Amino acid sequence: MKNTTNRSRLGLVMLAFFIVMTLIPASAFALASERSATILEAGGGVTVRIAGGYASYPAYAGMRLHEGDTIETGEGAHAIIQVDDRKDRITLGEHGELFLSDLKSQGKAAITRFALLSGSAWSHVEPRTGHTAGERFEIRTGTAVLTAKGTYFMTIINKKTGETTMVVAAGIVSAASPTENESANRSQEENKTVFVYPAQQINLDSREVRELRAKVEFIDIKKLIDEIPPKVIESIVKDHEEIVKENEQWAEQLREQLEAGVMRPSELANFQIRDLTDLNKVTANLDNLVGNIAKQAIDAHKIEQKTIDEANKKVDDPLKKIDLSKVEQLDRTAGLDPEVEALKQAAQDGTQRLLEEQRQLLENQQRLASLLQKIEADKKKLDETNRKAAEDESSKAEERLKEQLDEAARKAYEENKRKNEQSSSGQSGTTPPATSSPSPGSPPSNIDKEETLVLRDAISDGKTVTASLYLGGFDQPDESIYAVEVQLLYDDSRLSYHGKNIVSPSSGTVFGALPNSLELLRQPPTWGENATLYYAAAVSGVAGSNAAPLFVADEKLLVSIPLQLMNTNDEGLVIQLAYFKVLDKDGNVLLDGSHLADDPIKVAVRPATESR
Amino acid sequence: MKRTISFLIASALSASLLAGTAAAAFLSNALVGDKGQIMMDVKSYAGSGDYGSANDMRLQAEFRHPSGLLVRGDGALIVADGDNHLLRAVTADGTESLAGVLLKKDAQGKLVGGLLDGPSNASLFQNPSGIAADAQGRLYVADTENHAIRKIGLDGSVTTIAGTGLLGRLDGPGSRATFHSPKDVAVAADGTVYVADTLNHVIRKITPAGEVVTLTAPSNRVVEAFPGVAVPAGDFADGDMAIAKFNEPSGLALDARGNLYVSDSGNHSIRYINFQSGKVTTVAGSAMRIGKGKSLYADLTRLYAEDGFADGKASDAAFRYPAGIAVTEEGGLVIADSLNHSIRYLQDGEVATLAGHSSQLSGEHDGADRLATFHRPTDVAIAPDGSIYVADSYNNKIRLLTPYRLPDLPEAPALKVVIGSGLVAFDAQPEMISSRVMVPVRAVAERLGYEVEYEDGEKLVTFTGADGSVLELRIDANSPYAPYLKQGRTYVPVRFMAEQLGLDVQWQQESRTVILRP
Repeated sequence: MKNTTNRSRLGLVMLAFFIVMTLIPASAFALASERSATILEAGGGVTVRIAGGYASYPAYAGMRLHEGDTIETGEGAHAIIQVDDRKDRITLGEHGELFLSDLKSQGKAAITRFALLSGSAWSHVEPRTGHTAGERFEIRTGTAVLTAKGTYFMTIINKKTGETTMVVAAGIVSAASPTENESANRSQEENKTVFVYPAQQINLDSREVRELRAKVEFIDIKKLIDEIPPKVIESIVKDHEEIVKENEQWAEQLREQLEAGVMRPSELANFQIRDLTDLNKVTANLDNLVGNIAKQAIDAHKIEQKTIDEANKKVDDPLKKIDLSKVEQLDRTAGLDPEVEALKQAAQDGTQRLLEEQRQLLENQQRLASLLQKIEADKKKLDETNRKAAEDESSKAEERLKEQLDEAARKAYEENKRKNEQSSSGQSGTTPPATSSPSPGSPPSNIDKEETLVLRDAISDGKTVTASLYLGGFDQPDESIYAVEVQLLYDDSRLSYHGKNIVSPSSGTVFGALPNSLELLRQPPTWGENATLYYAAAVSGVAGSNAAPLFVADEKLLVSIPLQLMNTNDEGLVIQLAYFKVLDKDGNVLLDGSHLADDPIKVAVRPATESR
Repeated sequence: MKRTISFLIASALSASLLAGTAAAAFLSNALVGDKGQIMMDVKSYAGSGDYGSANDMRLQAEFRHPSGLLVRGDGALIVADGDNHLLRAVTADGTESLAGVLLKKDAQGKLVGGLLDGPSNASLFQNPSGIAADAQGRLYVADTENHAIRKIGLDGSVTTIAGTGLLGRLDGPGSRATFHSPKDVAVAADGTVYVADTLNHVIRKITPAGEVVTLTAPSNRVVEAFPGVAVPAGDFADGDMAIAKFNEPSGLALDARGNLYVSDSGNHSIRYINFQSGKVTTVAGSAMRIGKGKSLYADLTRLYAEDGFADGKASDAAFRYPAGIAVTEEGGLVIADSLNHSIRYLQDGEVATLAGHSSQLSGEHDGADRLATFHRPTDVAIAPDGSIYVADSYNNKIRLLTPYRLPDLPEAPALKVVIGSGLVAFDAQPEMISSRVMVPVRAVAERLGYEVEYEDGEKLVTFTGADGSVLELRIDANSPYAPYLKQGRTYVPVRFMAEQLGLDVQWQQESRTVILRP
């Protein structure tokens, strides 16, 4: 065995118990106590599931949660909860699921543990001092155990990869891989825990991590803002004042340490300050951290200036207020330990597993392509009917409840119900500022453009005719597109579709730009003189579920269909648009072109402009 | 201060007196520890813990909230892999897909299930949970979010035997009947399929002719779960089957007599349906303590009964949302006590805890019974050799409980110390001093992976673990734990030292052995 004790004495003691004879077996007094958390805000569709039960119901501000409860947020929804005794606060963004694993008391100490199952969570952990000094606040994900006290940090579970990203804004968070049963196999050089400092982040895509320190990197603000919803960003900006204060104290500590000759505050970190220049870089970054987050969020149209103005009101020192015109770019080199950076090796990450899963999904989609439409349609119908049945069930429950209540209680019930609905809709303010960019999910604009679907071009290069469909004008809140169906007709002796049945994703098209979409093209055998080509596209979210809204304000390419010329003669060739429908996710028709069956729109095939 | 000390001494002394109480018959030759604890080892059996779907060797494979288990006739473990919407098989060779396919992900990145019958590679499920097998080896699956009961034939083909995908509570032919989030099934010898129809709060059956019949009374109860929020709720009633009520029944297991145990989750109780007498009774948990005419629910706001944690007489026992259950060969009932993060055992009117943290903390630690931790275990299944598989859902793992076995020990009457299954070799022998076993500290600590240092005139012992953790033991010369020097070695009381290092410590009187387990 090597002598590692000296290292541990240098202020690195993770776990030091002074055991005098009075020690009572620690486990004897842990209780699933009356500890609780309260929902401070619930905006949009937030539901709770009480402890181990299966029933779920809507959640509202003021609702009290206990150990074992689960809180879930739907699309565009958010929730803020606060641990009642310790005042730790968590903002849970949309599509989030948070399980209150442990809210226990152990003597005077509290055990506070959450499991983040999906979504993103901004945690403000109060300092622990005095008799609570030994306590930690913990968030577990599939790939990380994050423990902290007196910190502000963000935990994100990537929708596609399941990877955990944790970003620290203030304080120190200790991150570990959850698997402990293989510790015997680890060599002593490998640390099971790593400290993450302000303006740093860690990405854990799997539990199999060789060198945790090498997973720590400088904060990636663009990625952070891309991944977290507006309500969560607002929470960060609102905490600006406290974050600044916390970081000032820490910067002071670093200065003292540097003066005392300590360059690495811990060996369990990717962090080093060699001189004053380093320290100044780090301090400047800390001052600019929330400013950079706010700026990126404004640029990405995720928050509004008024959020920043409100946060600034709490800051006394004018120099510490967020001023977007003065935000300095963060220095990415500040504080990173060159030795640890050298440890980082070529991406040996877990994307392989993900690719394999993606491959399987695609293969199965292709194999079951003929069934897909029916599966989707069936599911949509079932989900819709079941949603109604559930609504029906709760209104029946309401009736039964009211029968049991006396007049006064009934009134109180109605009043509370009204309040709940108000508080929920009042805060569902995910209304991001308007923007002209027609990207998927971008918010509706003020001017309601006319909805269109056109066959714009049919261009021949002598071998292939490319027919292009465009779509636009879907810019109002109730015009989010879920699916599109189109039917084209053409002379089957002159043109034919020989391409793949599934259209490859393409960032330039309406559906191709979405990760979770499917586009199909099919030309079934025909008996008449016209061949029919069916095009169908859909967002793969399920009806009634939480697919991201899809708005297309300005006209955008829907699909380009390559049709093969049977011979080189393209004279007088015509393609007909004979049918289309654009649907929202509840099956409502947003734009109906079914009348075209009687009188199709004919588009003449033109030669490509360049010479042929 | 005195109290702690005397407690420790008493437990060492009374080891042989207490042994043999509790549910000692479990797995007949399981060792029983000092306080009546059945000694079990917990380890990870399958799943790396990562939330994924990879098929691989057992411990490298991935699951997404595994929720149901069944040991098939050939010994393979069948797993209902909830969020992957798959049925998978785990064998010595690794994992493979049995039915259902990965088809799509939604906007949140969650896999989307569906309702599709067909060959195994063209079938879909939606959050499948409980599994059961009939005498021929066909599998039945409670396909929870499809509100349907599915069957997997011997050729792997999947059919729907009852349920339409719509939620409801219609009886009648399987093709018309409806369910609401059924979470478990059990198959009787005559082919009758029992269904825990969880959110309808009733037990149903599907006759061999395919007819769905509701056996117990539906609940009319409704609660105001939060001011202004009305929620339909389950209820409680024992008595004739037709009037009996449940609250989110979510686990089923038939005993040797063909009667049905029901894990009544929302009532934190275990119920028993005796088909011969037609009566439903409560056999363990809080519902046994309810006075006649009294309600299990404190007021109009409570969805569920009062939960808790307590071992002992079944009528004193307490659970927190018991989920999947399984009957052992000796007629006991293993219970996945989901929110106590523990595995419980009911036999002969006594409830014991087989594994799970002594303070019911969640976690994923492998090791000795009451040091091991789980994270929302939802089902259990018994292996042919009697060991117990656990669907440890939030850890994305299958865990395995096996009875602890002592290694081969020398016949000599000398004191022995074992760590797990390894005998510790001493160059200076342990000693018994006033009922305490004293051991040379370095020999034991180093075997445990700690480095030992002394300071302050041997009064401060520092243990440094391989992971850098440090534990300091300051020893008071006046305390009964005072170490002493002998032949140049420091002797300390083994129980005290090991407990402080976080180990489970048991004394086996018969072989004069101290058993230490991480």
